[in-house]
Amino acid sequence: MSARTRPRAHPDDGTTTYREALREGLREALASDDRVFLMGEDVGRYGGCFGVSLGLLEEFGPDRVRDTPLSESAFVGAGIGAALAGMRLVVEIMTVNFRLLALDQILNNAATLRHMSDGQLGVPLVIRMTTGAGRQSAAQHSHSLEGWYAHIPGLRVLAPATVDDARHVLSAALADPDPVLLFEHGSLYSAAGTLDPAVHEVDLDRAAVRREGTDVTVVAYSGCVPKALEAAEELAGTGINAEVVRQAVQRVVPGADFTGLDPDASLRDTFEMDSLDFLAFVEALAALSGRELTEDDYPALDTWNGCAARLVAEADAPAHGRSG
Amino acid sequence: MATAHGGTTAGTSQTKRPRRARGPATPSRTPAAAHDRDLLRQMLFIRRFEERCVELYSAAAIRGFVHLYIGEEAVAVGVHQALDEADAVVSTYREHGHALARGVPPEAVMAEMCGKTTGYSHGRGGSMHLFDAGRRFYGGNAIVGGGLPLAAGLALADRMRGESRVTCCFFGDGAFAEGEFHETANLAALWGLPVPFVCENNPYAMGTALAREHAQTDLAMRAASYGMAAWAVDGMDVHAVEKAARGAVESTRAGSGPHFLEMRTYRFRAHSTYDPDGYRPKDEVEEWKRHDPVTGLADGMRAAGFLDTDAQEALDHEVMEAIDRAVRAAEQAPEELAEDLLLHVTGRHEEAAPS
Repeated sequence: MSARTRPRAHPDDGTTTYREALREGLREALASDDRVFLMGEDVGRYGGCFGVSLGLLEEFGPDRVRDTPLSESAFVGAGIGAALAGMRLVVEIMTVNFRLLALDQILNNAATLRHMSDGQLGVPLVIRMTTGAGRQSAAQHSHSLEGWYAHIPGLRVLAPATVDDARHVLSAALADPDPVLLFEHGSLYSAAGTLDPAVHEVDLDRAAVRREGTDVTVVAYSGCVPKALEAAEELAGTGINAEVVRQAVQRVVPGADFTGLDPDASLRDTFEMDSLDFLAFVEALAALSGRELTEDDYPALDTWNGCAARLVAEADAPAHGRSG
Repeated sequence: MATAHGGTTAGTSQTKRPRRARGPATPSRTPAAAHDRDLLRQMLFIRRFEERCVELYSAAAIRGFVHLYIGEEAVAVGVHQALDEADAVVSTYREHGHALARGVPPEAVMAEMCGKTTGYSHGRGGSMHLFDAGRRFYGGNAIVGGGLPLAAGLALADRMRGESRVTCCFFGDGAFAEGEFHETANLAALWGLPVPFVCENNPYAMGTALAREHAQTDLAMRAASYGMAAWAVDGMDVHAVEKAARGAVESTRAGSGPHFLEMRTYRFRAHSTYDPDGYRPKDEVEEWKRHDPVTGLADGMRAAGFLDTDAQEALDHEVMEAIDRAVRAAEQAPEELAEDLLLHVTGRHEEAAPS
């Protein structure tokens, strides 16, 4: 029987899936705060397009696990209105591509109302959506638009990557006074893992070390974190001890000052890995190396005191095949 | 069109005058007369306020886009007679009249338009984004139709908490062509949300006439197809507007779900201060001006004995003085400091930043 038809209880040994961990986060939020509700296409009777909210309708009722018409702009905007009125809600969108139909509400209302009203109107709203390629879903279900959204001031963009992230990200996101966009990589829902009993929260401002290492640091987010962990295990077999850092907020930091960095310090300690995006990183490398870097340098940057930094990204195409 | 006899309150005065212990009844002292004077004062205030805005715009004291409400005053003032303080209002970029009718202080509105820090948004919003959270006035939205879903959400929160408040949502005939209107109308009707939808059909979407943007121009009929009570109202007659709004708001508040009022109105000025207004015939504008809601009400009041020349002059004087005060205050207020630009981008930054 699949997870779609039978929600699994949280196993005692801590093993769970990304999907179940997200569901536990939702259940905890709904149970602990009357202001919290979930709204979106097929989140109720269907159990969520990817089965994340399966069983929650029965537990919390149709008012708080609320099915919506296929009207993305209206129900995302309604989520913004409800948040303005003091509710703390989670809006689910099936895929990042459908989210584009609500982009007006996200950009023009959610992201701007606080600033435009001089702080009178905050929008504490969490919007969840599936992202990423690699599932043979073709281009219209496969884009990774985190970077787009990360360039919009006023939004917080997160991409939970592990079962610990999935389990604890929601409480932190709901506590945030601003709109938080959660990008859930479609290939992760069935990924299994063991919850770390020592982890009780996700720090939205700091990256998390998902594997300690000494020889090389791999910074990744979303669906690439498990791949990086897998690669690190493979490298360990060759004698290379790789560290894997899960990036926190996908956000550009305007005017970030990276001058005076110590090239001998570890990458993680130097940048603290908070709010760092690749372009800012390249600028920092440029400042340190004393030469201007161009896009031609991106594939293989070898300029930081002999330390290699390499961007491994998805191909620049609308969709990918089975493996993403 | 607008007369002192059109609405419930004024009409009552003609048939059931209050009993008096002695002496003949004095029409100008009846509750109906007082109510009409209040309506006239509010409409006149919006009219004169915006006329002053035009002057300030010409002098570059106000910049950006300014969309005048002149000609449509009866809608804002009439509808607000039906709303309580606890209700919410969602508006459009043509919202000076809505804000003033809501009770947002004119000093704050004028300062906001002039980009001064004494505006409720510190001058950041300007003409198109007046917000007053305390009065539950949620703006001010420069995206046509962009406020409609917000109204549904505000109403949803009330519905989930069992509050008896309504969220009044203003928008225009242009927004009626947007998907967001149709999505929101369906959602509100489906969930029975307490939203009186007030469509200000003025009947141009910027420069595009109603019949050139809608295959079916009977907007109330189309709105009714979503399963909500909907009807058209003479939006140039403040009594007719008030009567319709009271009916819609009371029914909405009682739990009958959303209602739709198509206010047939007209803007006497161009779409915005950038608009050369070359798309509509002059005689059409002149014909609508014959139904001016402000002079129409005043004429009706004079005919009913509610208003004489002295009272009219006193009212004019009172309005102009208040506007002068608002302009003076705005002129003297400071502009926001450039270093405050990053305040309120996020709530966290706001908490972290010194106040």
